[in-house]
Amino acid sequence: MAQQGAGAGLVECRDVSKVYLSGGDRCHALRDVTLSIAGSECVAVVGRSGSGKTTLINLLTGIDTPTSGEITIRGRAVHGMSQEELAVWRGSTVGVVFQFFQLLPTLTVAENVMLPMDFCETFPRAIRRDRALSLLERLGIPEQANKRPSDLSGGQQQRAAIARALANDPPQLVADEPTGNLDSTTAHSVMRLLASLALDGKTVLTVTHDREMDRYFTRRLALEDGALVSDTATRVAAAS
Amino acid sequence: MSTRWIKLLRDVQDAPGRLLMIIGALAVSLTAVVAILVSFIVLRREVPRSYLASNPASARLALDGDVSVSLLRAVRARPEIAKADASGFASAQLLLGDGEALPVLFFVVPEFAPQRVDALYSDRGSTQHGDGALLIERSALALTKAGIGDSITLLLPRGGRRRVAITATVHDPGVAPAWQEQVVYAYATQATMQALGEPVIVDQLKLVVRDSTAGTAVIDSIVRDIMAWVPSMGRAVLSAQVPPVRQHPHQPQMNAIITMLLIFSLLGMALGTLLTATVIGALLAQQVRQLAIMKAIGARSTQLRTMYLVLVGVLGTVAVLVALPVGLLAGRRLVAIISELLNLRIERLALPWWLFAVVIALGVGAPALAAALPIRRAARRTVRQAIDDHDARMASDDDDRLARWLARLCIRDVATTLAARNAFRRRTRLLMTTGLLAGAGAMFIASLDLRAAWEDKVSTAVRDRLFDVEVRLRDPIPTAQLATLAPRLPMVQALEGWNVSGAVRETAEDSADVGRVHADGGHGALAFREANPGTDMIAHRMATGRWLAEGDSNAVVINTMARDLIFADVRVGDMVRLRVNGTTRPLVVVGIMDESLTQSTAYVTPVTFAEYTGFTRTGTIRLRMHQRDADSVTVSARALVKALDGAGITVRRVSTSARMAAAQGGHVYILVATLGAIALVMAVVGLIGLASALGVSVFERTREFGVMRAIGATRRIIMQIVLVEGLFIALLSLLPAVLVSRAVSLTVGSVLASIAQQDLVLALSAPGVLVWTVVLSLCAAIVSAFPASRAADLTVRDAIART
Repeated sequence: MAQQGAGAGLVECRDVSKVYLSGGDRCHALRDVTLSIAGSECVAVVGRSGSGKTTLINLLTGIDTPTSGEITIRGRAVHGMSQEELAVWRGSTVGVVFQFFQLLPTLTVAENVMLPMDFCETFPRAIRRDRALSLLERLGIPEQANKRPSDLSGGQQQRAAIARALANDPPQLVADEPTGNLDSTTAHSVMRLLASLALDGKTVLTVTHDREMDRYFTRRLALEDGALVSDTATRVAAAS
Repeated sequence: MSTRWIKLLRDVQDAPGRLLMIIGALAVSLTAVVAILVSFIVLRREVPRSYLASNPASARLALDGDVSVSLLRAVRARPEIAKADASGFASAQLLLGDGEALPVLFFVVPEFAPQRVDALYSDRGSTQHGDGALLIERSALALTKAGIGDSITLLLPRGGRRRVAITATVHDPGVAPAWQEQVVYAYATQATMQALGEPVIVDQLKLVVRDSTAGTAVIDSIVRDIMAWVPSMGRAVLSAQVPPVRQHPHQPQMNAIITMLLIFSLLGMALGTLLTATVIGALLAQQVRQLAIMKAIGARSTQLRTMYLVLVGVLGTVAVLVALPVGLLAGRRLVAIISELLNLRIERLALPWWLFAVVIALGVGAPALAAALPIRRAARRTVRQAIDDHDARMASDDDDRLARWLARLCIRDVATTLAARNAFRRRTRLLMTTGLLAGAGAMFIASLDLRAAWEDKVSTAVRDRLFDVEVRLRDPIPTAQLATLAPRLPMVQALEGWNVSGAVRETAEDSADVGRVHADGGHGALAFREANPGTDMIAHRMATGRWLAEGDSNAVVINTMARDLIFADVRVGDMVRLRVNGTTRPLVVVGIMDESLTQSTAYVTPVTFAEYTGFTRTGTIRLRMHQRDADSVTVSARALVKALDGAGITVRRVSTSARMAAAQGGHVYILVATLGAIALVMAVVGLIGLASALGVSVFERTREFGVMRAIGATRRIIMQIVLVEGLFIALLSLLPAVLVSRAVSLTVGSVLASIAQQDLVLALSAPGVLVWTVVLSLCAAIVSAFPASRAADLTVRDAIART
């Protein structure tokens, strides 16, 4: 099995395992995964349901902590951080995109995008709204800025969620099945968008089980029963 | 405004009902606290101040004749005496228009101004109180059914009937409210009484000692010196009274009332605070996923904590802004009610700054503190924990077993089983909700327990009192005349002589005959009564020992109030020394009689009474009428006075059983009603908690309800599940409510008992439990109906789509 870029990447995982206790039984969600991801890579994490894709994503975003092993992102040991440190780190380093968009229903789309800037105070208050509008424009939904999420289509909501993930200009973007709830046309549009972000220098890590989307990725990590069974480079084609 | 605060504001706008519940619950309970605190502060400050400003007598000495001017001057000249005055008493009857008569107690002074001791406060009418003026205590004016300037008809002790105009009302802080005692307090100079044909001897010497810090022992010592010195001035001291030093006669009762109300209002506040924590917890439970998202995009726990604590702070601030003015108004009204209840004079209503600090701390700080735990817990949850929290889960295997066991107790239909299990899904929330309801139930049941105990006391008193009228005669008649009197009174079924005199217990400490009676002659007094061993005018139920027997020569029976207040150290068989009219003799306590709502009394046989007092005549008669209902007794009493008058016997005072019942103070019911009102507040708070808990429960199970609808559950089944869950939670609170109510009843009962100076038997009120069960079930069904209907209205699509 190839392990591209190990030892010099933006994201480093070394012998990472995750065990859950369920009703007294030990469930190995991840087994000794070691990998390295460099900057500007657009990585697909694939596998069947229960293979450990979401667990891996959760560990790489600090949403969950490994049972053993080490995770280093941009030189910082994520596995040793407290929840407060993780929150600060995540806000400035990782943009997270969820399958069900997870926009806050009481805020407008623009306000949803401004929220991470507010929490992390990464941009001065005076320019936050302009930045949010600019991100929404870049994602093709500027006219939706003042609407509530419930007024938007699924594709528009996912674009808004990506805009929110980009709000603090993080070097890394992690998406958990971002197209799982979208129709085929919208799904391709969203994936093109993510691929273009990688071209712009972001590291993009996406969970997917849609083989049609392979063309958007530069690399493909396959998991099976919690183990990394393949790590292959793919051809970049779709960002244009 | 920062985006996070916009989010919070929108959350409030989207769910105003629940937050209004918090404000309402906090505002209601805080209003009660403010009102009680205001009265607590004002009354504790003003009552002693106002009382001491009237220069209450440190001691009162009853002499064997007029207090001469020279004696008064000599007393005032003594270095240990700051002030001295003389006064006397007289009694009369006030004839009301309907033929009814009320007792009048005259406080007679040589002159009103300058009145050095037991000063009166001008109230209404003329402030120039000279000879010829008739002053009425302000609380007695309503009893006279007359106004200032109106004339009233007095039946004077020497038989004269005089019409006299009321010139003014005054406030006498030293007497109980007239409506409570059913006695008209009147004030006049010796010259006025003389002009009325009723000369009064001013034989009471009232003293204020110079050392304002002197305690009872020092004052007793001064009084004994004066008692030893007075004979050198040509007079003898018959008795001396040193009332509790610098303490208003009602101060202990007032402190007890206010403290009790304060405790319960704080309890209400605690429940309001608990509700805040519950509702905020529920709000956070609904926002679990949003919290996770915010943390995923960079929010720190501290930022989230601050957001929600500020929300609670704002809600508390609004509650304070609502409660403060309303509470201040209610507090002033409460001060007015208690002042009237205890005949107090309040001059200043100023409040200290710390009251406002306490109110803010309670209104803003306490809810924030209570909500801090659920907020901290929610904010500390990791993103993964929050995202995984799709539905309510069972807490543990043990809890599962408990829920299943409880479910087996229910009817075996799926909907009921589900409802019972759902109730146990969120243990903390269940505990808080049942805690709120149990608190309210406990207060409600306790208030009914207390009411029942008091009513039982009153009905026992009425049942034990087998006479309907007590008359005091102007001139006592030979006791033998009683037998010949009965046939001439057709309305009377039976009559007996019941002479009474005042007594003082002599102990080792009070060997110089110093009593502890207050200026009104009631508080701390001991009645010394003759009673026929074979009497059927009272049902002499003995707490211990026996009733008087023929041939008892030195036996005394004391009642329970006398035991509690004066003879606490005495057991049956002990010897006590009572001083009556200057004579002290040892008496053996042969029994303690259980007697409800009757002043401290020592009963002796007529023979012993005569030996003690030298009385051979009868001045007080108790009569039982043929027609014993209240209206008939009032009519018969009028006829009785006329008949006695026709027989040449002048009645000085008539008391009917209805008047006695009124004098026994329905004001205790005000306390019971207050307790009921606090219970109502708590019940509202508890039901808001239940509604909130069910609302959240329905929200959390939206997906579950969708699935149930998808597999065939009808609207009726969904509604049934939520309604049964509401009822189940409500009924779970019943047992703790009953248990806590016992503690509340016993605590409040002891306070009430000390106020009324009566033992209260506090049994669990079965009707109270039953009424609470019905009220609780109905209210639980009503508050559950809305979330039940909301759950039933969910379409499968809505439910499944919601995340």
